Amino acid sequence: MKFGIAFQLSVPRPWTRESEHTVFHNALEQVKVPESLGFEYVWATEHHFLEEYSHSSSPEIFLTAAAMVTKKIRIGHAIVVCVPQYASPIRIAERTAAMDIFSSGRLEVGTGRSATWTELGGFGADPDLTKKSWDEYVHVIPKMWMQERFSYKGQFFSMPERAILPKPYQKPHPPMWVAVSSAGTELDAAERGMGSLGISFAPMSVQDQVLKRYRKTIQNCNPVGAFVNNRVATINFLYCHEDDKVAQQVGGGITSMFQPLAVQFMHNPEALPTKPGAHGGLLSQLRAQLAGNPREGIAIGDPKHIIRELKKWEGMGVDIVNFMLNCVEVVPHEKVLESLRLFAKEVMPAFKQSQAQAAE
Amino acid sequence: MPMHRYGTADIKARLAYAPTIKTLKPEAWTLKNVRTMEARCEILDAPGDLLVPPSLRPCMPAYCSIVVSEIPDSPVGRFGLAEVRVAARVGPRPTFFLLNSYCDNEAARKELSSRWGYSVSAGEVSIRNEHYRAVGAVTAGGRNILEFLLDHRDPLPGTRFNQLPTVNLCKLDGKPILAGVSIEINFTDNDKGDQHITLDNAAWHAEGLKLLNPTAATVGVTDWTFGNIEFTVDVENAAEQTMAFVD
Repeated sequence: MKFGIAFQLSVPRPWTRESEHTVFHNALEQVKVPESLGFEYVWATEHHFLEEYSHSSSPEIFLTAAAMVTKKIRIGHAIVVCVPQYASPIRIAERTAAMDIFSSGRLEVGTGRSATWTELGGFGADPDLTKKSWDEYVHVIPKMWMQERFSYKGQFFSMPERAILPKPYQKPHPPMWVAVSSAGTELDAAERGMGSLGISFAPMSVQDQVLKRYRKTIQNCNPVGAFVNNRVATINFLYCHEDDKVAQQVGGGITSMFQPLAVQFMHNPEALPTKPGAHGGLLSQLRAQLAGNPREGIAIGDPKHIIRELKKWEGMGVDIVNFMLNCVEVVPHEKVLESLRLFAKEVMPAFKQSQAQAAE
Repeated sequence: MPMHRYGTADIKARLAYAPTIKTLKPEAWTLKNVRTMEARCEILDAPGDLLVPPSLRPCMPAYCSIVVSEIPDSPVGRFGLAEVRVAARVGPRPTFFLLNSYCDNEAARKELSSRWGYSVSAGEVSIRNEHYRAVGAVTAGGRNILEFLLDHRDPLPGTRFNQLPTVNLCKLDGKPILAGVSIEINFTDNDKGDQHITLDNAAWHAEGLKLLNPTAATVGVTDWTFGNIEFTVDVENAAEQTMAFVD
């Protein structure tokens, strides 16, 4: 199992000229240090209008900056919103190819369709159509990357024959992923031969079922790209401290801030009489988690606790665990770095051995 | 606009027309073949805050729900019910706070207010359902106080509706409370469409409410079950600390 870090660039009020500047530059520092510690992925989300919760509206800029200050860590676009009101697939193909070039072939391309009325309504997008537009996008983007000239006529997008440039550095193209938060989306990912990029904090039992369905379905997939990406990633929080109580106290701030913000913004499809998609719902998942063992599977604690919980994910067959390191800056920057260093020193070795065994 | 803010509604003024409920466990009602029109629409934040009780948090973006329903039969006979609600969070829980409702059956008004805490006024409620559009209307005191036209109808799958609890300001044992009423709703037929709404704010106790950006509108046939009050919340103190589920 490999480890990554994930950013949504949350910026607490009160906002000053320095607020976003500090968060963005701290995040960049929090990419450099983990690379040196052995983390293998950095992901940044795309959100719009989600004040305080996420100011990461142009993740391609942040990720390009991250690529420029690193050498090895893979650069994860998590995710590109595949809805016409947000961006044309031409622009997505062009800019991701440029990112792949600047990162010398380290790009991972996550795709999705957004689920919040705050965002979809802000762009004037119809939530009932986003699944279809996402499907069209993920089919055309790999072709745009691979074909010298490309033309297309579809429901959401059409173009006469043109050369879409540049082309990605990775050949045939960067790995593609699907953000999986709604029940059933893992099947959409599997059927298209795309990686399952878990972005929900559902209980482990739920995620275990999702993973099993994904593994089974992808065996008979019809890949949208030139190859199958059958990896499964999940999202987690991370705060590691020698003292478990201190870890819970400090790291607990991340979850206690994240949950109400997430619920406020990420799960407000109730603004619509019709649901943007069938899903168990982040809110219900958080409730279920709180009703059970709130620490189950969560990497907030001392190294012993974190190893024990992450071993459960490893046993389930998860390939990558991506960690959110902060939320609205409740954990000071230096403490985030200390947590990363302790994790690398005390936790990572417990997984390097199994990686080596898997490689053999 | 701070994220962690609460509503600023003047509860004392609203208590003037808040009904009294007798119990948190009223006798249930099951209502069949209810035709319901609902519009949800973004509203301005600032006046929106003035409509939300101090213990609840306004939604972001702020929005409201306008519902017109025609109940063909009930224990008190046929009645029409129209509601204007503003979206609010009980802690993290999405709900709608009822601003006012109108009903055209005196016995139904009495039951809705005394069982489930509806602030309900007398008014004629109608739905005209046509194959290409639906028109909901409410008149009270000889004035049109709501016109709700839904056109460009487009069928939707039967289960894809979001229904939220309504939070009603009422009194129990002489004390003001917010009562969360979850109505179990099953849809048998529903369409979405475009909404065109004219609303008399004062009639709905919705001063300052300005409809801005329509999110969606639906018309459907449903079965309703009104059950127990699901939860209560203090009117002034944060729901995070004062919400209590009814066993």
